[in-house]
Amino acid sequence: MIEIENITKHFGNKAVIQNVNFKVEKGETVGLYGQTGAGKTTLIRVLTAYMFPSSGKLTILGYNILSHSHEIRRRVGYLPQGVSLYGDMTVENYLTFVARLHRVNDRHRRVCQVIEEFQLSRHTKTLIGKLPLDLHRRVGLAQAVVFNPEILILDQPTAGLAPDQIMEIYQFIKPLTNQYTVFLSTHTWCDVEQFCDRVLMMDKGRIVGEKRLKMSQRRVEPRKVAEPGAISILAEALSISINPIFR
Amino acid sequence: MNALVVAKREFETFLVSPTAYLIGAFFLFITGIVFSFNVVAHHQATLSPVFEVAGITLIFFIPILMNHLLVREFQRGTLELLMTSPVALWEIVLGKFLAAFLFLVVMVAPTIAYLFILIYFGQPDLPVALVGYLGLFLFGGLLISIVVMSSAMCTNRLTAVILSVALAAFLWLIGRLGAVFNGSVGAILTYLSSQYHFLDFVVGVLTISNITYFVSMIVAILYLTTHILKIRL
Amino acid sequence: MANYKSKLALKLIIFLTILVLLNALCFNNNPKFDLTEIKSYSLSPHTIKVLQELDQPVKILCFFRSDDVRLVKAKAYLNQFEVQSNLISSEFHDPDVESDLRGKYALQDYGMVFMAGSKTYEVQQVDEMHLTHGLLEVTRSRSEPAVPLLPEPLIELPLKEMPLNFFAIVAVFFITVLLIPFTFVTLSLLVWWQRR
Repeated sequence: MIEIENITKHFGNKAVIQNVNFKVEKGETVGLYGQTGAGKTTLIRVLTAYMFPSSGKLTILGYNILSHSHEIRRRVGYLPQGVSLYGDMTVENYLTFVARLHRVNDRHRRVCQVIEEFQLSRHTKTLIGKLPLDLHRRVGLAQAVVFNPEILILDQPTAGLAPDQIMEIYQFIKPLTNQYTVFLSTHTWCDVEQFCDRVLMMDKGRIVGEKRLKMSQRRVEPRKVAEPGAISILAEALSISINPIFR
Repeated sequence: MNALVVAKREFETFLVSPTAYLIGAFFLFITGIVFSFNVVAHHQATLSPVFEVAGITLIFFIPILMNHLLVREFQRGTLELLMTSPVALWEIVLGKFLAAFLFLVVMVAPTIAYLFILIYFGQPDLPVALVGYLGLFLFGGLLISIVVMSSAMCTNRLTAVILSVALAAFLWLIGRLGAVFNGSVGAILTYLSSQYHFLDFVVGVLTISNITYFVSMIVAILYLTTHILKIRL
Repeated sequence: MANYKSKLALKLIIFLTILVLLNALCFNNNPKFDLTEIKSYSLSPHTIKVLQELDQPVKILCFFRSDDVRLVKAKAYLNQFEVQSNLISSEFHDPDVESDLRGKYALQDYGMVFMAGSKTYEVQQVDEMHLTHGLLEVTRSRSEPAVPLLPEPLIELPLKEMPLNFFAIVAVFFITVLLIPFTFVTLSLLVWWQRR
């Protein structure tokens, strides 16, 4: 579904992501784990065709990002970091707007379905700008799936949420990992444990390790999150082979 | 077409903005005063002075009212979701323009009452009035395209307003330079002036070159805006 | 990136060139529709007839300061004259800048000098009537009588004045200055209230 070969992205002279290679198969949930500044959001923005790579090859669902970005955007649902939605629109209007952009058939029925799915029925006429953060995040998830994408890309879906809100949002993300191919980035190991079949470790713009998680390694209870900057310690604990230069 | 979806969303933002109505009210207040004084002082059944003043007023009002079009998308980060939807850049630019233009129509529409007053009391030249409205909307469209371009270039709304007003005023006044130069240079400078073209509409003269000027300027500026956005992103 | 920028520059140049050519085409072939009832902004049929019947070149020299309103009017009229007849040519000079021209043409005041063959005729007022008269004066032969200044009766202008009494004036003022803007202010308050 997603094939990345030697993707590099420069901002000026600085390489923010370098020689990234990986694949995501259909039905997989793959996590991208790294500390702040590792390049996760930049990589996500390249995957969603918000930015284009400086070099390398990126194919999503068989479409090349450079020549068919429009086709990719039609099929990829995206929850950005920070989730900036139109605060002056109501929940229902906003979801209808997104559905219209994606030319969803039977828009009204689908929007109602998604509102039910994310338990937003009591807030359909509420302005998005007046919603608390957790509901705001739910609306973000709803807009990412309202048009039935083939791939779902989530950028730090639990960032900024309180622990109880995180538990709540997990309830909504979990079913999505069964329905869609999901690629999510996070700096919280708990998110990885909750959802991911496989995790990619990112540090300083490079993929430094990869690990397939067994079912038994997935925990339901939240663990203490690893401190940022402790990549090598964590890698050692999980027996992930890591290039010595990144220690 | 997604441009219409973007336009609908943006137009709804205007409709639910108290500020937009207040600025509209102020614009109608000014045109109302001009109309009333023209009727009282000259007893003339014509809207030409209203159109002339409305045009000059819009040079300031349109930037103040519409500077948020793209600046706010950048400031709030909402452009990221829009850009990752299947919407082309030109559709975003066109959608913003159409929404702003539609609100301009909403703002100017109440002046139709002036025409009905003239019809009731006198014998206005209706074709002249219609041509005047055409010119006002074309000129308003040019100003809106300038504002859309400025809002794509600037990082804050105040800068966008200043840049828009400066560009609009420059296009209005460049014809004065045309009077100084002879020959082709003078003719080109005069032709570039929006005032030169707008005033023909105000007095009831319709020429193909005037329509072509406004339409081509709007298209050129919006096209440039698309590329400015592409570079900025 | 450099490749992208050069492609973009090329696209922009081509696009702008097309627009410039389109405007140039429309400027040169520019149908004009004067929709005023009395055709205030078009040449009268008499003037058009005079222009089309010209049988010798006429040069019109205009001497106005750059900030003189008559300069703009003169340019507008002469543009229309040149559309109707290829035999008309014009030049614009600022006598304050080109002071030698004052002596050369014995200028009394700012104005226009019509020249055809050896004849010259000076015009100070810039309106259609005087300009047409100037054309006739420099192109008539010696045997023809002098042309009167008013060649044709002017069209009866229908007055567009409105008979308004005090109450009508108050009503107009109330509706246009108060009622209409107030409606918009009320809408803004309603919207603000709803979104509170």
